Amino acid sequence: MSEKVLIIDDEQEFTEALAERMTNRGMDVSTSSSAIEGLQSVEEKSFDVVVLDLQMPEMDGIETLKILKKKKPELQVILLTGHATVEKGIEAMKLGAMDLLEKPADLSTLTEKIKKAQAKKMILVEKKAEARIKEIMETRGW
Amino acid sequence: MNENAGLMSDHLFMAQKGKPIDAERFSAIIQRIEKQIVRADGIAKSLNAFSHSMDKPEQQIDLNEAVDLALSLGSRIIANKGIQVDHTESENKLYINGSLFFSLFLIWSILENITENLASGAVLNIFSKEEDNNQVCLSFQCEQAIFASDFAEQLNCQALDLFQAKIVLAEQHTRADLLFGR
Repeated sequence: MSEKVLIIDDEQEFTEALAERMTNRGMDVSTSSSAIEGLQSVEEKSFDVVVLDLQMPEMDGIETLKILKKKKPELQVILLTGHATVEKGIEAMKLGAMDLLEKPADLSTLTEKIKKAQAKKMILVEKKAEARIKEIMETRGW
Repeated sequence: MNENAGLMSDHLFMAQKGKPIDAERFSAIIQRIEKQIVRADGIAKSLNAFSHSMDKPEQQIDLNEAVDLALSLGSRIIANKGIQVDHTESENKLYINGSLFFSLFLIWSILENITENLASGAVLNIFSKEEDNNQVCLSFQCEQAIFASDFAEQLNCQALDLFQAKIVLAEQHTRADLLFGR
């Protein structure tokens, strides 16, 4: 099953090139050029992973990450930054990001992380479904 | 550039596997790379100028160029805050004396302070002139009254002292004039 990826980055030419490369590798890729647009896309479509730029106008990656994890807790987020620091990494992980990569990100590394992210999301969704079924069975006394 | 170069590699790889090359697509990728090369050249030029700004402790500084360099170095931060900056260069060249590095530091301190208080969508006008007493004046003006009475105290006093400069607030605190003493 191909990974459903959303790339959120204000640098359109970077996003388009990366999206095409990822599509050529069998992924189902959408793009957004702003955090607001990206949050809208996440409401409308289901994604396994969001690849999110840290520095964007209007709303930065950290603010976007907080909202994404609140709306869709099982959604996996990989942050991209031009200047990765330990502090940023820790802050991102505490907020629930799966990883923080420095640009330019090696595509094979990014692809591997996306595959792991999809697997992690599937496990979370299954656990959530199991918990729901258990709850229903307990309340119905079956 | 990295992604577009990788994309070209991908297309070449697919061509080697028998898929014909889309010449138009290839041309579009090359144009994107060329555009990024121009952008990278500009960034490298600004960083080079900044790295050499410490070479001389004292020199004659073209104020228009110093402001342009400070704006260039901080352009992404300012753009991310959604603020538009309009720098109107003075008709005649205006010079100040001192360290280029500290002039950039002073200008950026002012810009940083201003952009912290401006909302997204605001416009900041920067212009310079020679006052009647031959003092060089660099003005920062916006529509909102964002300059607090203690604006000068919020800046680094040492940087102001190096240029024997002072800040004067005008037009009901919508404008701050940086007056250079040397």
